[in-house]
Amino acid sequence: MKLQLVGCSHQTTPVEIRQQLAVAAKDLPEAIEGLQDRFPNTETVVLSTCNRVEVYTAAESHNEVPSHEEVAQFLAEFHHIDSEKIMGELFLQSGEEAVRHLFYVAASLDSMVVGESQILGQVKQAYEDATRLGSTGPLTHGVFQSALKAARRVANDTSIHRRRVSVPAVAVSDFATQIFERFDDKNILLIGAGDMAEETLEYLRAEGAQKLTIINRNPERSNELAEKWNCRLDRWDRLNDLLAEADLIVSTTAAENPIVTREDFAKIESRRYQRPLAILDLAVPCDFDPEIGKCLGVYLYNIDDLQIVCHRNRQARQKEWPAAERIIEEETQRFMTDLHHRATAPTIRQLKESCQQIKEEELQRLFHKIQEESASSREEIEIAFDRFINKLLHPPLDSLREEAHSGTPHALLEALKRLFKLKD
Amino acid sequence: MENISVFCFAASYSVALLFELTRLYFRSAIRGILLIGFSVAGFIAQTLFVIARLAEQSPRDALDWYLLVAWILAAIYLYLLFYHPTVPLGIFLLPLILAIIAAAEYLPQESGYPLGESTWGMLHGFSLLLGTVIIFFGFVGGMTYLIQSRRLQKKQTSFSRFRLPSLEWTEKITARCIFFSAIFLSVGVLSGIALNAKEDKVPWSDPVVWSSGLLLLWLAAAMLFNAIYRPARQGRKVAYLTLASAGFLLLVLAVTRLVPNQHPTRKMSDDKLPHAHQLSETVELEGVSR
Repeated sequence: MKLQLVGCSHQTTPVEIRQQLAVAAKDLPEAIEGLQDRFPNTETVVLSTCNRVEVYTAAESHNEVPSHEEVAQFLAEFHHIDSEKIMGELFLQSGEEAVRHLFYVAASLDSMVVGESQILGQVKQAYEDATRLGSTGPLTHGVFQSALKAARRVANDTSIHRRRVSVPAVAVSDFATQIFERFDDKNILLIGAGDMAEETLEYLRAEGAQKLTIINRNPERSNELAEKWNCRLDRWDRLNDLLAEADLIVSTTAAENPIVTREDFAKIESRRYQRPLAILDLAVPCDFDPEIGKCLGVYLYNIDDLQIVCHRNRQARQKEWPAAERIIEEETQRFMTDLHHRATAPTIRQLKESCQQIKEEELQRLFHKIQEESASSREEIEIAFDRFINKLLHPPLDSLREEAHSGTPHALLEALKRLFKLKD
Repeated sequence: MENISVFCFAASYSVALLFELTRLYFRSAIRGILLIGFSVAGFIAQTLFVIARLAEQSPRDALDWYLLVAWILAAIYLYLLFYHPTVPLGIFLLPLILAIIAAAEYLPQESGYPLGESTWGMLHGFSLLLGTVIIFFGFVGGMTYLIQSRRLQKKQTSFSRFRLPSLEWTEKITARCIFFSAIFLSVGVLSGIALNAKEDKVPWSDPVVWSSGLLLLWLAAAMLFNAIYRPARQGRKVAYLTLASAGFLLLVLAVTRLVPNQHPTRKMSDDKLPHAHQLSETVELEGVSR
């Protein structure tokens, strides 16, 4: 039995290569079919997200699993690119290492943003797609189901997923959600259109934000962002009106001085009727005068406030990391023991069948000799034979089980086959 | 059921409160189960106790009335525990429930809160009961709002182990509490007037009547203020209104308990259960006062 993965992730490969290798959902059936045609008798699951492209393959026989080069060649041909170009970018992991890697991925411990919840759904989707397309088998069923279980354990037993460490994530998840229950009916104003604004937009959208307005001094960049995220664009000179209407403001400009002073805010304050306002000032230096935070109903957080939380969360996550790793390790060992034990199943079955055959022959001979036995004594004799076989086989099977904890017990299996003359 | 005492459910709620308080210090996977266990145990014990009391034909004494208020609040707490297990409102609700139970147990055993036996009497009693529960719950909501608002402005929320409901949620709850408490109190007071008007003897000078009227006037004013003055519909103002409403309610309760009034009262026996002659006396008293 062999399980391996060939792939690339954000840890090893630049985004340009990952984008070239990504398998879109619409192309997945073709990719799976291609892999099945090229490597028959191999179980296959393709996991393709924006952070990774991984091809999991498994087979009963070691010889049937495609090599590193063969998978790379397939991916290159599938995407019409030079295999030499991608060969060095794809890593190979097999056996326990591959299992552990999948468990880390599913538990979001290998994600760019550790603890993000999307990856679990993506792993589940990849496994379900492969099952639907008929490319999974006992080994991939086992490893993916165990991966999902391990991920759920990490999510339930540790708080690693609850600790955000990026400023936009903390701003939205740790602060804005404590003020607002829902975001779909809130007027959200984004001032500035840089990378920080875009990342914050992503989190706001994830929380269900619908009414988003972007303003920027440079309309070119804000046009691009508004188009990409389907937001409303507005003019910079309407800033005051938009401040009066907003429920949540995210500000990320590169202005050298505050764009909204206490005096500016005082002018629009009466138009707000003390409606709560959350201001996430992610700019350096600050876009909003800190004095505005003292106004009634205003909750102002600047980058320093958020950085402190990020730092604390990073420390807290660091503390939780060993617990998460321990869970992954436990689940990996449990799966590997099951896998190794499963590898001994054919030999055990042969051994039991062989014993059963001997028992049948001996019983037949015995019953032929003893003519006057009653039905109940026949039954007793059969039970005695069964008990004898079970007791005889118990020590070797127990030893096999124990050996399976540290890998497939090849030596013991070979010894059993030779001692009992078992044939494959 | 006769073995169940006030101590049984008060102790269960107290243990549940201790578990709620541990939310401030550490996370625990089994705390939820223990919380549900003790709260449900307390609630079942209180339900059986209240049923036993009502079956004893003594629904008019203060103990029952206060216990019913606490019982409804406990039901609300259980609902929150099951459907919003991460919301630590028990920290505020359970002390209130325990305080009401203590008031029921230790205040003088005289009735000022008739649930009544006629339709008008039932309407009068239950409307006032529900109005009181809603004002108390609004008080918890308002307090939660002010604490959460302060924590957010002081930027303390992310370092804390327990997470209060969002400002928007508590604001919505408190605003609804003001509205519905006003409705129920209006029904309660008006049905009380109708009940006495039948006898042509509305006791306008009765402290219970005028203090209840005062509370109703306050709630009506709060609703009017809310409708006319737009900032009053926003968070902190709504929270202050619920706190003030709870203050008025306590005043009414204090007047009812401490000031001599013409509301139907009944001296209770030592074990708080009425004897047959007292029951008939109660019915007579009720008839006279209405």
